[in-house]
Amino acid sequence: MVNFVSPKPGKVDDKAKFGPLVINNVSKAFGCLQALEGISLSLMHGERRALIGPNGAGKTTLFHIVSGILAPSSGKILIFGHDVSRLPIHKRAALGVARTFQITNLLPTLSVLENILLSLQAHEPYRFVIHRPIASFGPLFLRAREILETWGLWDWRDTEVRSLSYGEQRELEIVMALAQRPKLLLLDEPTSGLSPSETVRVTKMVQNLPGDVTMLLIEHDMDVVFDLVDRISVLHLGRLVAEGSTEEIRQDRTVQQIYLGSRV
Amino acid sequence: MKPLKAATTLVFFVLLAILPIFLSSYYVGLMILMLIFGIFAMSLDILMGYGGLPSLGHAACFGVAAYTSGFLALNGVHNFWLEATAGLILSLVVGVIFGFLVLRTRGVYFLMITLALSQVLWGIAFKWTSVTHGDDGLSGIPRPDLVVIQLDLSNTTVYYYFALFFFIIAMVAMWLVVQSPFGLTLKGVRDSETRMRTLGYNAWIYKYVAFLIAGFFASVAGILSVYYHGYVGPGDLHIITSAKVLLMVILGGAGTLIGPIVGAFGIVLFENFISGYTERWLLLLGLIYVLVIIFAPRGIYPPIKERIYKWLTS
Repeated sequence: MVNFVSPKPGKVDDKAKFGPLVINNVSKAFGCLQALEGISLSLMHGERRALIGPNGAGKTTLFHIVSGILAPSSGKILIFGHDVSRLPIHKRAALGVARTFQITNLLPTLSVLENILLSLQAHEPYRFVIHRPIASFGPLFLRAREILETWGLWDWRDTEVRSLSYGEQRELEIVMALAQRPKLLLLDEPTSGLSPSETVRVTKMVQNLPGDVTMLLIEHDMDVVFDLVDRISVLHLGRLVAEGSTEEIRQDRTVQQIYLGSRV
Repeated sequence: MKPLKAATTLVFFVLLAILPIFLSSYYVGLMILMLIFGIFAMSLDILMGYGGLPSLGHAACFGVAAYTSGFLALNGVHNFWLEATAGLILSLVVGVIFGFLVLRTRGVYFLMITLALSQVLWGIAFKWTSVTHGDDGLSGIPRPDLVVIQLDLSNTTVYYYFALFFFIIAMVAMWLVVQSPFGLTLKGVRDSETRMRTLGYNAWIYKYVAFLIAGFFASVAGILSVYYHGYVGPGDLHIITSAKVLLMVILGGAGTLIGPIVGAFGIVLFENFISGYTERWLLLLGLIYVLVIIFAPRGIYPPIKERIYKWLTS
């Protein structure tokens, strides 16, 4: 598990009250294009939330702002009560945030095992060790083996990631995120481009997440969304237009109009 | 594969150790150059093959260390360890400063800014005649005085073993670096910086440290070079030197430590044999470069390694 030192040791309990993710009035403009406008959203501990919306709604932009790849034009991001709006990407990861990308983002010339090793090693103090072969870190390899065996990837351990199939790469990316035992998991279209059987596999992977993991999911496949989440937020043209339980969103008139078009 | 690797490494070191006994001093001198450029090329490969940062200014550290040690040797310091340490420190200072500037960029931009900065140093060496003697360079630098150990380093064969000692240390040290958790992380940063950062790595620190390590070992090569030639000139800081070592890494095979050694040994031999016949040896080098890029884009070493491995397992 990831340990982080709270800036005020006496207030750890107070911090625990804060939700895993609070997005407070976040806007993002690219030049004169207003990609996001006044987004506020908060997740509870262990909540599974989907972020849906048509293409160009700003879903991935919001993910980039939460994980730190983009800076918000205004507004605040709080992760477990820490204001991370100006924190670099790797420090947010150290708070327990893991994410996958819409366009598969792995380490293509490294082996499957090396990808997992890097994911496991990311929060270990020995990640800076320079004078000792990594092969001498027994426990690290044991954990990597355990993870690869759990997900049926052990036979592929020495394969370069770029020679895996697209579906296998998508799965590996999720496995890398899960290997870090994140507290807040951001999945950006995990099943996009997958075959129906691969989609079922990935859905099962996510369903079996430990209960204390909070998850925010971008997904276009509504069957997957309804299988995986309790609540849905709907984004349209950079604004949050609806939020509610899966049933409420299914019945919501505005959402139906956005997706199906409206006859005036 | 592992015992094979250990066996070839052993054979390689044994050959390096006994060959000079059978060779004339001209060829021993050539082998010294091979060792020096071997260290130099390996150091660039840490940055280029492992960090994904091809530099066209790697001669900067090589030259600064060479100039510093050479200048001190000519100006009354008769202690190799002091001279070498000063060379390493000054070149490290250059690396610390340049690192901040160049690591804002990647790819072609990195190539260009490293080139520009190293040419600034070349310009200084060229113009600051009171210290560097300008175009003439510093000549007449004596072979080092080791103070504590009595070695006759003016003897070429003895100097060869002196260089071999540092070559082996540098090679083992760089091998440890690339095999370490740091080395694997560096390769990860080369493959995808955003991926590594979202995993929780401070990618910049890894690139910066790799830049300093590469500079450090380039300085070691520079120091061995200045005492071997007894001379250091602006050419040692020039883009031709940077490009030569870059070619060694590309031709041999970036991303392996053996590749750059193969490239360095090959080009040093080639340069010396061909330049006996024609002054246009750079033209021929360019031709070889084109052929290698077409037929072995990963460099000479990786396909040879794979072929031997296949032959042994079949």
